[in-house]
Amino acid sequence: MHWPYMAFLLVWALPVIVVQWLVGGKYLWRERGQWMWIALGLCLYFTLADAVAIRANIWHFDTRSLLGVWLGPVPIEEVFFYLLTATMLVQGFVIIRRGNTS
Amino acid sequence: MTYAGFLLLFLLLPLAILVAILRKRLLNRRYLTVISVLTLVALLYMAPWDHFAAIWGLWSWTNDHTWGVRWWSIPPEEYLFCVLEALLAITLTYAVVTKKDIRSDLNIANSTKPYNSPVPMKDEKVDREVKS
Repeated sequence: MHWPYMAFLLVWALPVIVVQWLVGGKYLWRERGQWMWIALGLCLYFTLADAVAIRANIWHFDTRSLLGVWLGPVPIEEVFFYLLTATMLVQGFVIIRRGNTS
Repeated sequence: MTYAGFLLLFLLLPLAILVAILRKRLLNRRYLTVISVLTLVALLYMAPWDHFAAIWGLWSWTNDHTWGVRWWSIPPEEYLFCVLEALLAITLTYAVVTKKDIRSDLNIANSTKPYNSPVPMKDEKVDREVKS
């Protein structure tokens, strides 16, 4: 038996996000109005691209490991994957940039 | 569409457009250092996770849509996806964040300093842009 996709994703991504907030929560909170929209925009864009890739049969999922919630051809786990990866990257950039300068 | 075609269309193309718009603004040592480090960290953090998902079969790739190669159970295209996603996300953030900074610097310059002021501006944001 192995982890379902959503649990495996959260266990992988959430610790990073928690650490980022512990380290740079001050900057992240102050600039939330900016980076949040970038992360959401990236999530939307990659979800649409993902729909194309799934329809084109480039990758596919083991449906037994999914929650079973779909946005068209895209499993909800994928939406969270793009949201969390974009958030980790964008937050990481904001923290390093601010941490270096102010 | 192959995985490589997907990368070209959905990742490399928007990245190329961003780079073409930003051009010289990207020749910034801090940006280049931070993006290199973050992209490397993303790649190293993603690989073992993707590896286990691949051997468990959480997701898989069709052979005739990939180059057919697997590195540590992962197609090379997947590593490229990770790298390009990181480059795209960080460059976009950099573009948005520095656009705001440049605008506020200009506002400060226009509102508080005469046009040819010999006095160096002490604003922290301006210092940062000059140094980097």
